This record gives sequence, structure tokens and C-alpha cells, in this order.
Amino acid sequence: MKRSFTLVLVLIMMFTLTTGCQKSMPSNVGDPESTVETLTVATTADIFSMDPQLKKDVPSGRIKVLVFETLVRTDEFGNIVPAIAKKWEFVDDTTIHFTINEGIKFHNGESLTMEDILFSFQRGENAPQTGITMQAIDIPNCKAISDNVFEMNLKYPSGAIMVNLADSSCSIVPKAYIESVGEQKFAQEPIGTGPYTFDNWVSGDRIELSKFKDYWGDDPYFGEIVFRVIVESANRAIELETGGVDMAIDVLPADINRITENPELTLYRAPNYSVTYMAMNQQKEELSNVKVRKAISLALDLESIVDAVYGGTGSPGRGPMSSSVWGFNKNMQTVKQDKEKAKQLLTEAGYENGIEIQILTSDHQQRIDFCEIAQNQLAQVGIKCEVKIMEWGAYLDAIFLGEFDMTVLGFSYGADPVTGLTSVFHSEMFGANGNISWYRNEEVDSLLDAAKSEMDTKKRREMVEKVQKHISDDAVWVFIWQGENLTGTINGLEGFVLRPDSMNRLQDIYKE
Amino acid sequence: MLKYILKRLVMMIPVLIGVSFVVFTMMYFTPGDPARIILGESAKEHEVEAFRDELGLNDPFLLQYGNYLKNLTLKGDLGTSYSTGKPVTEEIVNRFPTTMLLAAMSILLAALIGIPVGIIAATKQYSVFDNVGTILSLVGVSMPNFWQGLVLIIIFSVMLGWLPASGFYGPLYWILPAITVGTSSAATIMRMTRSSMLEVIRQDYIRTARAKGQSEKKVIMKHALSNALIPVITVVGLSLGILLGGAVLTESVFSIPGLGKLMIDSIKQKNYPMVQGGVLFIAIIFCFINLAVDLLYAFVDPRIKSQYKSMRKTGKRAVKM
Repeated sequence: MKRSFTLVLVLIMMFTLTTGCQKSMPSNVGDPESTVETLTVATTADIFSMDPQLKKDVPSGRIKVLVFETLVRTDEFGNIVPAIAKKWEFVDDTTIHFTINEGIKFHNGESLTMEDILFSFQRGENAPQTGITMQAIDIPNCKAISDNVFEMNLKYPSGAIMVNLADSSCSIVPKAYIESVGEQKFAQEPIGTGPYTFDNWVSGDRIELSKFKDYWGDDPYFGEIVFRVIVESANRAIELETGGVDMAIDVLPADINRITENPELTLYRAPNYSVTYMAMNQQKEELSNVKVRKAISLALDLESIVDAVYGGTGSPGRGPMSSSVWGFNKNMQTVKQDKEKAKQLLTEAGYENGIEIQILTSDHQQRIDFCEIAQNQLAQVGIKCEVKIMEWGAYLDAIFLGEFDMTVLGFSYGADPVTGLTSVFHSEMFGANGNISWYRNEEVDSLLDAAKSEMDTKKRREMVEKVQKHISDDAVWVFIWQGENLTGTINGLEGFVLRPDSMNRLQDIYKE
Repeated sequence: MLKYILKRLVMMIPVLIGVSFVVFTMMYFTPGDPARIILGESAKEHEVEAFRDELGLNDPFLLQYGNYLKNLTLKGDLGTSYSTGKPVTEEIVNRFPTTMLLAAMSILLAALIGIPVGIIAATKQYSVFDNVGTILSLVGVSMPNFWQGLVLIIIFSVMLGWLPASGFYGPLYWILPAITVGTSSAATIMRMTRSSMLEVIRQDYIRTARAKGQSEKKVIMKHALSNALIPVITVVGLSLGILLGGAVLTESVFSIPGLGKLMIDSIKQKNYPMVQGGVLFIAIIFCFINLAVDLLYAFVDPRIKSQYKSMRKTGKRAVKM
């Protein structure tokens, strides 16, 4: 009796201890009597750091756009629209005057000052994620010229400066708060000027935001937004279906029917800025020959591959850029499969007996599927492929050291393509800097350099289009797939716009 | 007994140092650069290099391990997670209650099902109950956890709408994961109880007990079960230890923020401090559970208890554990 009693006591203690330590959801979630409206969103992965200048990843970015604001922002079409700055004026090619909105406050109640804006750029000067977005800014010479006008000087004229300023790495951060709490605490308990305050982050489980009552802009409808980390795509769809969440981000093709066939749910689809490609390492003898690279492209039936691998989402690649990115060359078309032409090009290149080559990929299921189909199709023109699969960390080491023949990878452009094209095709970016194909074309280099500082939009667009043509003619990549964003929601959420950069403005959503 | 416990606790120290060294060495020599993984493939080479410096990854191996050990032993500091910037101890402390609750409920469920079914199957050997129990236990052991979890979600969340599909926010959320994990453990416990009981009930002292006219219930519950429980406790202890290290697949299927998922994510990210801290923590848990299981033997089996007592009187180690 005594022993049984002890056992029961121990069990009760264990249960109390564990349940006591459990962190429950906010009390109002699923509570019909609560006056606070909560939007629950199933997100794909946990966030890393909330410091906008430290780490750039999509799951964190989705939350940063609600907590922080930039001087200007882009709308869903990529146009520059006001944010913290209500207007801006180019005094000359290298000087911009930003007039700041009045009455902007940080989440701790302190007013935004010119010092905060200057500090944000000074802090970003040496931060890991601002190398590209802030590279044109002459930070030591930026200054406040009145209480509400900020002067930004540039090192050189930059056609991409406004788009870069809309990037979350150029978010305006609170100087006094960061100096008092330190960088590390700021990254975990950030404050910004955005419509939502960062309340709670339960690592691996959820992130809770609540409406900032002193927000200077339009009052958001939802009092709270909870991001639940649900890594499995099927589970995100099931949670949406069973009412566990109001929105499921990044629905996979296998779950599309589950949502579209349910009359209580809505599926939003929009092309995004990402492309998936197969890079060919031009340090390898066979692949340095453009005829071999073209033969590889021609051997593949991209339409059927995309259908099989991506379940009909997105579309086959039409060049190095996604067709939704500004400056896309509309003359670019998907390479059609032509096995005879591929064999002929191989013969002309001196490989009439075919070649043996390796495709390296990470343990990403869709990329593995692509490799297996490509292996079969390439064999039909005499290209014998070995598919090698590596764990992500080891894979990154291998590709940046150039230890591969061909590899499948994804790339996402920003709203302005010059920065992206430069990072993956400019010869100054060889290897670990991004140009893993080791591609060199002097004309592409000079066009990209010129486009970087060109202020005339039309001329800049022509340059970008020419770059795409060169890259396509040189068959630098096999252009596999243009991505698509898929998000499922419950019915009745109005005002939701699925953006191509995935940085959706949840503050604009409301219920009728 | 106290002396024995103290001795076991002291013996843990070299074990844990050894574990920390092995894990540190393995993580150091596996391919993959944590700085590159964290900053992503779009980061430039100089940015990655600067981040490596900041994390101290450019220091020589022994210096890195020495610093780690110094911070651990002198300050009790397990370091900071590369990915979240939070202290490793905080991350583990935040996740452990979830894992512990899942493990406790699963083991409780497994024991409540496995032991009684095992006893009945053994006492009624080759009966319909025994055959059905054996088949069910085989199914339970063979069924992959992730598949079982998905089937339960489809039935109870999607089709019936009775239980939530993911998360771990309250009793309703606990049911499906506990069943998923508990089923396979229950099957193992059932099989172990059955075979152990079968062995015991053929012993002479059971026949003697019956010959003395004791009721069958008393014979089974008092004489047979006490002696048959030792291997069952070992299995329960081992299962609990494994579950406290995290039920990785179940945590993934049900999106439970437990220790197992944290460890897998950290290994993928080459998050050295998090992996080292996590493994060390799990090693400590294992050591304590092994100790608890050894002590529980005495609680269950009077022969072992008397051996402990004689050890205390003579001051010699009477039980070889």
C-alpha cells in the first residue's frame, strides 16, 4: 500500500512539473468570447534572429516586415511607395533627400529621430547582410539636414538604390534601445516602428505579435498575430482544414487539392522571384565548351520534368530570371527538347561517344527527383550521369569549392535584378561569392557594371535584357523552373495580397 | 545505498567529459561550415569569413575545445546557439518539459497496456487472447511511428474532428502523440512481460506457492510478477531514456517543439554548441535513469534489496551493477 502510494505521488509530481512548465497558447486563441481578433498563421520554419541586419531568411523576414519599417517599401508590383519617408527627392544623381513622416514612435514609446535613421545605416555598414543593399551608400556623409529631412549621399549613382532601401536589411532600428540592451537582446526582443510589436518567441513552436497601439499608420484589424512553426507541409494544410490556423504558408503541390476542394478555404497563387537551375561548372573541361552545355539543355524535356517534379506549380524556366522580376526579357523562351540536335552538338564538340558527368545535389526531395529524371533523359543522348546526394552543409562546402560538375540549386531575386544577376554571373563573383558556374563573359560584366549605376530606367532595362540574352546564348545554366507562391486561407479574409517576395503585409488583412 | 549512489554520481563525471569530447570532435570533423549554413548560400565569402571569426570557428581545434570545457566547468555555460543567439541552457530548459511530458505519458500508457496484457498472455498461453495480443504487439513494434501518427491525424483530426492535428498546447493536443509513441513501447513491454512471466511461472517456487493453496491471483501478482518485473523495468527504463532524448519522428509529425527536433535541426545547421549541450544533457539524463532503474530493482525485488542491506552492513559491494 505504502509503495503504491509513493508511486502515485511520484507520478503526480512528474505530471505537475511537466504540465506546469508547459507554455500554452495565448488565452484568446480559439476563444469565441475574446474581444481581440487573432490571426493564426502556419509558417514553414522557425526564425533565426530578429536583427534585420544580421540574418536574412524568409521565415524571419515575414515577421520583420510587421515589426520593422524601412524608409521606403515596394508594393506587390515592385513599385517604390512611401513608408517611414513620406517623400523623397533626388537632388542630384548621388544625393537624395528623404522627408520623414511625423509622429512615428518605436514600440517602447520613444519617438523616431534622425539619429535613429543615421544609426541604422552606420550599424549596417559592417553587418553581414547589408553588403549589397548598402554598398552604394556613402554612410559617413549621410546626415540630417533638419528635424524631418534626411540627406543620403551615394558613392556612385545607383539605379537600384530605392529598391535596396526597401529591403529589410535597411530597416530603421532604435539607437537608444540597442545601446542600452545590447545587440544580442535586441535580436531576441526587437522593437521597431512597425504595426505589430514582437511579444513572445517560443523557439521551435511559435512567435506572437500584438498590435502596436501608437502606430502612426493605418490601424491593423487583427489585435494579435500568432505564427505557428509547422515544418511539415501536409500538417500545415491539415491545420488549415481543421481550423487550427487561419492561413497556411507555402502549400506544396500534393496539398493543393485538399484546399481547393474544400468550400471553406481559399488558395492564393502568385509567381515569385525564385528560379531553380542546374549550374554547369566551366572549370571542367567538357563543360567549358558551350556546345556541350547547350546539348545538355536540349536533351531535357523541361515541360514534363516540371510537371512531374513540381506538380504543375510554377512554370518551366525561361532564362536566368523569373518572368515576375522587373526587367525580364519577354523574348526568352523555354528550351524545347531536341535530342537529335543535342547529339549533333556533342559530336561537333568532339564527344561523339558521349561524356560521363556527375550531378551533385543536396538532400532536397524535389531536386533529387529532378536529377533522377535528368539522368535518364541525358542518357538518351549519350551523356552518362552519376547523381550524388549530399547533406546540406557538406553540399554547400562542395559547391563553393567548385568540387562538382553540375548541381541543382535555387536563387531568389529581389525586386531589382541587377544585384542578383551580378552576384551569380559577374566574373568578380567566382566561386564562394556566388558565380559557382565560373562563368566569364566580358560583355556581361560590363553591362552589369553599367546597369549598376545607370539611372535611366529604360536604358537600364535594355541592359538587363541583353544580359539575360547573353547568359541564355552561353547556356550557363539549365533554366529549370520559375517558382510560385501558394498560400491557403480560411474564407472571409479580405485584403490579403500574395506578394512575389513572400513578405506579405498581414496588417492589411481584415474580416468583413 | 547512499554510498553506492554517490559512487555512481562520481563515475558520471569522466563519462560526461568523454561524451563532450567525442561529440565535439565529431562535430568539428564533419563537413559543413556553420557560418555558411547560417548565413545562407547567398552570403559573400568575406561575410562568411567575418562570421566565422565572430563565432570563434577559425581557432584551432584544441583551443576551441579547451574554451568550451573551461566555460562548462567553471561557469556552467554551455554556450550560445548559433542560429537563435539564445543561451543553449535556455533552449534546452524550454524544450525539455515538452519532451518529458510526452515521454512520461507515453511510458505510462505503454506500461498500463503492456504489463497487464503481457501477464494475461503468459498466464493463458496459446489462448485466443495470447495469440491476438502477440499479433497486436508485432503490429505495434513493426508500425513506423510517423506513419501511425499520420493515420491517427487523418482519422481523429481530419475525419472525425475530435482532436487537434499538431502542437502541444494542452491535454487534447497530448493524446495523439502519446498514443503514437506509446504504442510501440507498449508492444515491446508486452512482449518482454509475457516472456519473462512464462519463464517465472514454470519455476519450482510458483508450483510450491500453488501447492500451499494460495489463490491464483496471489500466485501471479505476488510471487510471479515481482520476479518477472526486473527485465520489464530495464526495458521501461531504456525506453524512457530514449524518449527523453526526444521522439524525433513523432515530434516532427505533430510539430511538437521537443528536444529531439531541436537536436535534429541543430545537427543539420552544424549548430555546435546546441548539439554538444543537447547531447551532454541527454547523457546526464541517461545516467540518472540508469541509476534510478538500478535502485528500482531493489524496490521491486526483495532479494536485491537484502543484498543492498548486506552491502551497507559489510561495507562491501555485494551487487554487481
